[in-house]
Amino acid sequence: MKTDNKVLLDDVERCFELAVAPGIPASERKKYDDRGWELRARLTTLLAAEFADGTQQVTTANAKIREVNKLLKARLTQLGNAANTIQALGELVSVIDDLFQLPFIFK
Amino acid sequence: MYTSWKRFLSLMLLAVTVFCSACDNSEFREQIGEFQKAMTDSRSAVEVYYQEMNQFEKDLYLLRREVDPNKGLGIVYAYKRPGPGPVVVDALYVNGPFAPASIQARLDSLKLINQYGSRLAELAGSDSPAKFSSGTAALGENIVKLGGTFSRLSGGRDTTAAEYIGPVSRLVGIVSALYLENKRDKALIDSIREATPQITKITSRLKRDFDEVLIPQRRTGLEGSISTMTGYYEAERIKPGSTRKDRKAILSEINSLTRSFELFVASSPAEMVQGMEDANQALFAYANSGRKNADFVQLVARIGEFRDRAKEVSETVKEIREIRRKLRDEN
Repeated sequence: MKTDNKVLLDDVERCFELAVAPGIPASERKKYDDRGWELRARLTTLLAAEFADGTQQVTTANAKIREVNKLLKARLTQLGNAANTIQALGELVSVIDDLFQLPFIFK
Repeated sequence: MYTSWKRFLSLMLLAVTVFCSACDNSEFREQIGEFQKAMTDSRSAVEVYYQEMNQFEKDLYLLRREVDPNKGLGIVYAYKRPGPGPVVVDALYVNGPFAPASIQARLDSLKLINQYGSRLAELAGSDSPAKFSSGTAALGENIVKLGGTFSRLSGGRDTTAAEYIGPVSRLVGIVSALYLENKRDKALIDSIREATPQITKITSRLKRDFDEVLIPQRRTGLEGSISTMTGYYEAERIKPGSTRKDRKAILSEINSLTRSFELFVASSPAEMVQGMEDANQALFAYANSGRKNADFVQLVARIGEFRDRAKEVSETVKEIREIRRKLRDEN
């Protein structure tokens, strides 16, 4: 099974979009830029990685990828909470790093 | 309105010309020549994306260090040892992060398709095309062994190599045979019939490479560069002593990056691969149809569209390369 790379790609693009969005404070923008690059580096590996079917950690990571996507979209429409979004991005990076501890193949 | 009529009349004129000459083998041969030229143009445009995959990543990594002195430098020697490659982390990769052997195998696949087009054109256009004593002599060792290369790559981290093995191996056989014998007319048509499904499989796989890896890589890389440079500008503009000249230099870089992004999105390189496939299918339809006039009109139109598109993308890719070169030189 694979991670939801389509949504993860969207997460990366939303981060970079928020990092240049007018009306968002500079300190917050910088965090989106940093997180965007962190996620992008992980996405590059995940594009090719395949995990054993039924791996719970992948299911958890996919849920986090989608949760973050919702938060980023909400923040883009200025409706979301910055602190929650940035915290969730940090958690997502950490969840993905945990995945890399598992055996996986490049298939 | 005038433009529509002009287009209609041009199409009618094209149709009449084509109907008058469709039975003539020379027209068919001429179209094979056009097909080959368009294949060469598109190959050079598509190749650039594969060739620059790793350099593009290096440039991104270094850009972020140029603008942020707090970021340290780390280097990873990728693919130094046999076996699966590394998990991608934020580092400057030597021979990576994308496996050079996998990139080269894709470039060789494009070369193989191009050699197929060239040989068809040669056989269709020349009275005495050269014969070769072996497939290796005609195609080169890398191409002859390409099926084996993909087979080896499929055991590593190359996710899609296995899907290339069958079609590439069969196409190598077909193109080798074209070089060993001076096939003409009917035999040429038979070769087109046999080669087309293999080319379709290869172009489909190349298109998926673009959709799944190359386009996300480029697009996010360019978006990230724009984002990082915007942050840099925001920090620099409020520093005491910031001059108009300093700001102009940064803004000019941002302008070049946004231009690159626009060109990249507009050029749709995956469509170029699709264009190769469309022209290939048009040639196949004509070969398969008993060479009817209507099919010949289709062939001329599809190859014409493909050539125009190939030229456009090829020019756009040149412009993007030029911007990247300037950005590197200026910094």
